[in-house]
Amino acid sequence: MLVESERGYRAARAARSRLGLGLEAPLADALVAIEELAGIPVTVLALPTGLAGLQGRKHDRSFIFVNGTEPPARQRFTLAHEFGHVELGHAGSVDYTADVFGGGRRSPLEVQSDGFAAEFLAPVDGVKRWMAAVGEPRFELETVVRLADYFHASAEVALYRLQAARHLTKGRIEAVKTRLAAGEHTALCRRLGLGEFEDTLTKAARGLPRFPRATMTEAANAYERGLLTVEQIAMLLEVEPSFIQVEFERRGVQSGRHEPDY
Amino acid sequence: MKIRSDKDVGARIGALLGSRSQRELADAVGMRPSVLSRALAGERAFNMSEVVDIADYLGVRVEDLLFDEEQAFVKRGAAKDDATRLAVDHCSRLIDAILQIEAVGR
Repeated sequence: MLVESERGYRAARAARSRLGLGLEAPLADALVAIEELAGIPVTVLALPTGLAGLQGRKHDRSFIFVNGTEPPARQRFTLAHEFGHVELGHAGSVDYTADVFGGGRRSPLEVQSDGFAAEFLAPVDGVKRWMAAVGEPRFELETVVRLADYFHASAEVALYRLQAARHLTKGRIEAVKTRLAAGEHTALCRRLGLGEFEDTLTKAARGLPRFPRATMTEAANAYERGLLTVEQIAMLLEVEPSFIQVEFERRGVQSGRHEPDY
Repeated sequence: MKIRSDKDVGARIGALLGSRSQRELADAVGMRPSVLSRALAGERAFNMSEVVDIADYLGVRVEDLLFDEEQAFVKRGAAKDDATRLAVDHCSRLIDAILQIEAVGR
């Protein structure tokens, strides 16, 4: 399993380097990085409970779907996990919550993608740098939630990242795990004023579905050139026409601004 | 993307033909009805010129006739319940929509 995780870590470091994201800093916006820098369309939508996300391939292109009803930190991990499947060359997949967050025996491909997601969101070198910068704090729940907040990840991810950075032993992990299971970290986050990070995923959750930015731009282009109507775009994307209308108004899109090309 | 066999191309055209008659198609693309019938049954391969004309008549892309659609999500068949199956189908349709909008908008 360690070998599989290591394969994921290596792929995440390679992806971060290739995309110019560095090997230490938190991601300002994981969704924007994956869409704009890696060129993979990401759709955030309401999926059934238990379904974390999907990664599909068609015509040699990859597409990611994330369950926008999950808490933002979980969505970020799912997004990075699905991106991991893409970067690791895995076939299209449907990922249940247990595939992404579950313990126990799992497919090596899921373990690889989890390793990828952890290192992509919170690289071990960045964790070490953070620990040094904040004065090597004692290992306790507060350290875990502060690290999680810094990398916009869940407390569980922060815990495992601290373990990977060799800042704590397995015994101490179990003690914190118990406190996490009891939900103590939620109240602690509130008291410390953490968890107020905003990114495209948190904004998307306020008005699902969220379609890929480039898709909506191309839809607007087609509408302005008279090639698609609002109703046709809405039918294709399976939403109400008013949803598209609101999005176009927000973007300042006007019908018939350009003559059709044909 | 998988290339369809001659028999599968025939079956695909037959399915897209729907309620329209084979004779109507034969007239539209200039094929003898008996030749078209054999080709639809996979006993004779369509040539490229015929495929282009048939795609035009049916209002589809040539590749829609010649290539098998990819399954975007490999675990689709193993979806645990109806809600998941519906969600996977929804995402598959959205992939097609994204590709279609992209093709028109660019």
